[in-house]
Amino acid sequence: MSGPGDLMLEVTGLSVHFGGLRAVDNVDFNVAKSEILGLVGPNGAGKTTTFNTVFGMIKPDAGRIALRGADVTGLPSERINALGVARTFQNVRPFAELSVRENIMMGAYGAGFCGVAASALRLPRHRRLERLAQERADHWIARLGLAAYADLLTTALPFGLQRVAEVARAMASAPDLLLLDEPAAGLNAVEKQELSRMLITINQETGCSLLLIDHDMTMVMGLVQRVVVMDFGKKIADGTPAQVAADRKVIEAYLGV
Amino acid sequence: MDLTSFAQTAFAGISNGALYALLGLGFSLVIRSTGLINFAQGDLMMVGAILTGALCRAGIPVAASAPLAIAATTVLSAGFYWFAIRPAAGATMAQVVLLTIGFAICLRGVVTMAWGSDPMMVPSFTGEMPLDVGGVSILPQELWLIGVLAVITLATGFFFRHTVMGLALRAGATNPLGASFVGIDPRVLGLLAFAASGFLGAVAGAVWSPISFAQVDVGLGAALKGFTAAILGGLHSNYGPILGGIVLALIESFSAGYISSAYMDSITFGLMLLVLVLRPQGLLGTSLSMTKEERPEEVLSTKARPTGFTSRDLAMIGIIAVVLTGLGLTMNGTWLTSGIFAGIMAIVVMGLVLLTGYGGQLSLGQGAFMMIGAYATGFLTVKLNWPSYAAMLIGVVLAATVAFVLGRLIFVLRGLYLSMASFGLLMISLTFAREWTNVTGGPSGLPGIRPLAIGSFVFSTDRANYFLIAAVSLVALLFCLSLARSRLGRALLAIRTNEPAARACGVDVTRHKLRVFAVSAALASIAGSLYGHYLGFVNPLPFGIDATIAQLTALTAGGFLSLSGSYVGSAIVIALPLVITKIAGTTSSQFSAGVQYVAFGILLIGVVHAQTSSVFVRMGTLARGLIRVGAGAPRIAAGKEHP
Repeated sequence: MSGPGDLMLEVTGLSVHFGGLRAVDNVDFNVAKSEILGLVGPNGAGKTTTFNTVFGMIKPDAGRIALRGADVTGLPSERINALGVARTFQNVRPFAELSVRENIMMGAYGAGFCGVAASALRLPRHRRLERLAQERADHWIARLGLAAYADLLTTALPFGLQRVAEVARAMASAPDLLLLDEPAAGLNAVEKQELSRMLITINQETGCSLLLIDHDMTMVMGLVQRVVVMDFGKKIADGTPAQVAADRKVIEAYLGV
Repeated sequence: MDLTSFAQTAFAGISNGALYALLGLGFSLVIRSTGLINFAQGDLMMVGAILTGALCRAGIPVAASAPLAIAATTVLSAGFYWFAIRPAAGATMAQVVLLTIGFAICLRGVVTMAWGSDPMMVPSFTGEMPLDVGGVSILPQELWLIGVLAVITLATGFFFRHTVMGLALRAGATNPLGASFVGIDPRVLGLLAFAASGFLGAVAGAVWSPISFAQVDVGLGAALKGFTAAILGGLHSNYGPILGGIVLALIESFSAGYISSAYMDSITFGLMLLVLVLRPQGLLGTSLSMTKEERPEEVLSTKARPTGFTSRDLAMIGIIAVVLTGLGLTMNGTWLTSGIFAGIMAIVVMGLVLLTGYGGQLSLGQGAFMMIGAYATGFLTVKLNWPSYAAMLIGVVLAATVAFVLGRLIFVLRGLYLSMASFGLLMISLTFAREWTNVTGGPSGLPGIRPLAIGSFVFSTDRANYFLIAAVSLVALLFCLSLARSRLGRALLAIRTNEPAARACGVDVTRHKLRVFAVSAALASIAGSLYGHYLGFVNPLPFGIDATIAQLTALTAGGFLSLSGSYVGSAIVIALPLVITKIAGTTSSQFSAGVQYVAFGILLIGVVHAQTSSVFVRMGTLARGLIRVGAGAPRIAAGKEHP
C-alpha cells in the first residue's frame, strides 16, 4: 500500500445530488502517484458524475477532493487543470476551427496567461509561452504518430485519430494526473489495443497517473493496476482487477443477479 | 403626494405594465423554445399598431382592423421564422440573433416607406372619454389593455398546463434533442413561438396605440422594456414575464413621479442589470434552466488558420495600405468625407470582429463606448483645455473600464445576455448625453473641439483627416490581427467552439471574454475621439441605434472573422445610403430613410444566409477558384486531401 505522501488524488465522502437522485453517494477512493486506476460500473453508476466533480465541472454537495494533499474541492476546471490535471471527453471535443497542432498547443495553455498587450505586441512572455506550446505539441505529435495530420483540421480526422489527438492535447499540459472518460468508446478492437499500449507507454514514460472510467471491463482489466467499482452512486469494490472480478457484489451489479 | 395621485400613478404603472408584460411574454416564449433573443419583438408590436392605424385610416372600423392587423403580424412573424431562421441551420447563435435584428430593421424600413415616420392616430376601441373612479382618471382603452392581459394570462396558464402543445413547448425548451426523439419537431416549436411572438406583439401594439400613438421608431426601445420585464419576472417561468412587466412599469411610474422622468431609461437598464446579477432566474423562476444538453458547436470557419503572423497577412496589410492611399489621393468632396466616416467605422467594426467573430459575444452598445471617447475628448479639450492625446487616452481607459465592469457582471451568465445589456448601456449613455448638459452640452452638443495635430502640423483639411484616420485604422488592424493570431485569439476561438473543452485546457473563460470586450470598447472609444476631432463638435445623434445597426451590418457584410473585411463592410454600409439617395433622388427623405433600413436589413439577413462566412471571404474563395480553373489545377478543398 502507498503512504499518504504518495497520493496524487484523494476523494473522501464525495456526494452529488441531482434533485432527489443521489448520483454519487459518499464515495471514497484515491489514486497513487504514477498509478493507473480504473473507475468502472454499469451505466448510470455515477462514474461520469464523479469524474466531472473531480475535474471541477460540478460542485459536490458533500465531501473533499484533494490533489497531492491540498484541498481543491469546488475549484473550477481551469484551476484544476493548472494544478496538473488534464482530461479527455467521452465524445471527443476538438476545437473545430483549429488544426491538430493548434489543438494540441491549446493543451499547454494553462502554462500561463498572456494579456492583451503581451499577446498583440508579441512581448517575450508571449514568445516564451508560445514556444513552450510549440515544443510540447511537436513532442506529442511525434510521440503519438500524428505528424502526417498535424496541419489538418482535427474534425477532418477519423474518430480514432481524433481521440489520439485529444490524448495529445491533454498530455500537452504536462499533467501529473490524466482523467480519461471512456477512452475506448467508439473504437474497434485493434484501436482499443493500440490505445491501451499508448496509455501504458505514456504512464511509464511520464509517470503521469491515469484515472480512466469505462463500463466495459475487458479493456480496463488489462490496463489498470487497481479498480474501483461503482453501482447506483456507491462504491461497491476496490482492489486489483483479479480481486474485483471475483467479488460477489460486482458480479451482481453486472449480471443483475 | 396624496392618495389620489398615488392611485393615479399606480394605475398608469399597471396599464403600462400590461404592455411590457405582453412583450415580455413574447420574448420568453421565443427564448424558451429556441434559445434566441428576438430583437424584432418591439418592431412586431410597432407593426401591429401601425397596421391597425392604417386600416382604420382606410375606413375599416377598429373592431375589424385590429384583428386583421394582429393576424397579419402573426403570419408575418411565423413566415420570417420559417423562411429566414429555419434554413439558417448552420448559423451560430450570434448570427441568428443578427437575423432577428435584420428582420426588425426591415419591418421598420417597410413601414417608413409606406406610411412615413410621423406618429399615427389609432382610434380607441370604445370611446375616448376618461372614466372617473374615486378621483382617478381612467381611459376605457386602458381597461381594454388590462383586460386583454388578463385573458392572455389565463390562456397562457391553460396552454402550458393543459394542452399537448404547451407540454411539447416545455419539453422542447428543456431538452430539444430528447423532445425530437419523441416526435416534437423543434422547427415546429420555433414556428409556433415566433407566431406567438408576432401575435403578442401585435396585440400589444393594437390595444396600446390608441392610448399613445402608433410610431415607427419605438421598436428597439420597446424591446428593451419587454426583455427587462421577462428577465425581471423570470424568462423561464410561465407567469414571470407578466409579473415582471407590471413590477417594471410600477417602478418606472413611481420613479418618474417621485424622482425624475429624464433618467427613466437608466432605471430600466439598471434594474435589468441588477436582476441579471443578483437573481438571473428572475422573481418567479426557480432556477436558471440549465439543460444537460450541450450547445451545438459554434463553427464559423472550416479552414485551418495559420498560427502566428504569415506573409499573407503582411501582404494583405500592404494591399490595404496601397488601396487606402490610392483612394485618398483620388477621392474628393462627399466621397472623401464618406471615406473618413468609413475609416472611423472600420475601427469600431474591427473591435466587433474580435468580440463577435472570435469571442462569440454580440454587442449592440459600441455607440456607448464611442460616446465615451467623443465626450471625453470634447469635455476635456474644450472645457478643461487638456491636450488632445491625453483626453483620448482618458476616453480609452474609461471605455475599457466600463466594458470591464459590465462584462464582469454579465459574463457569469452563458448565452447572449451581453447583447441586451450592451444595448441597455447604449440607451443609458444616450440619456446621459442628452440630459447631463453641464458636461455634454445636451442635444445641441459640445462645439469647439480643435482638430488633431502632430507637432505644428494640424489635420485641418478633409484629405489630411482621411490620411490620419487611414493610418490609425491600419495600426488598429495590425494590433487586432496580431491579437487574433496570438494564443489569446486561439483561446477565444476555442471558447466559442467548445467552452468545457477550453476550460479543460486551462482557459479562464470570463477572463478572456472580458479582455476582448475591453479591447473592442477601447477601439470604439478611439473612433469616437477621432470623430469628435474631425467634426469639431460632438452631439448624441451619430451614436444612437442607427449607428449600431450600421456597425452590425458592416460586421456581417465584411465577415465575422475577417479583420480586413471591416473596411469592405464599412465601405458598403457608408456607400449604400449615398447610392440610395442618388437613385431615390426626387422622393422624400423619409422614404429614402425607409429604403436604407430595408437595404441594411436585407443585407444582414442575406449575408448571414449566403455564408456562413462573408462577402470578402467568398470573393476570395471565388477568385482562388477562378485562378485554379485558369491554371487547370484540380479543384480539391485543402481539408479533404487525406494523406
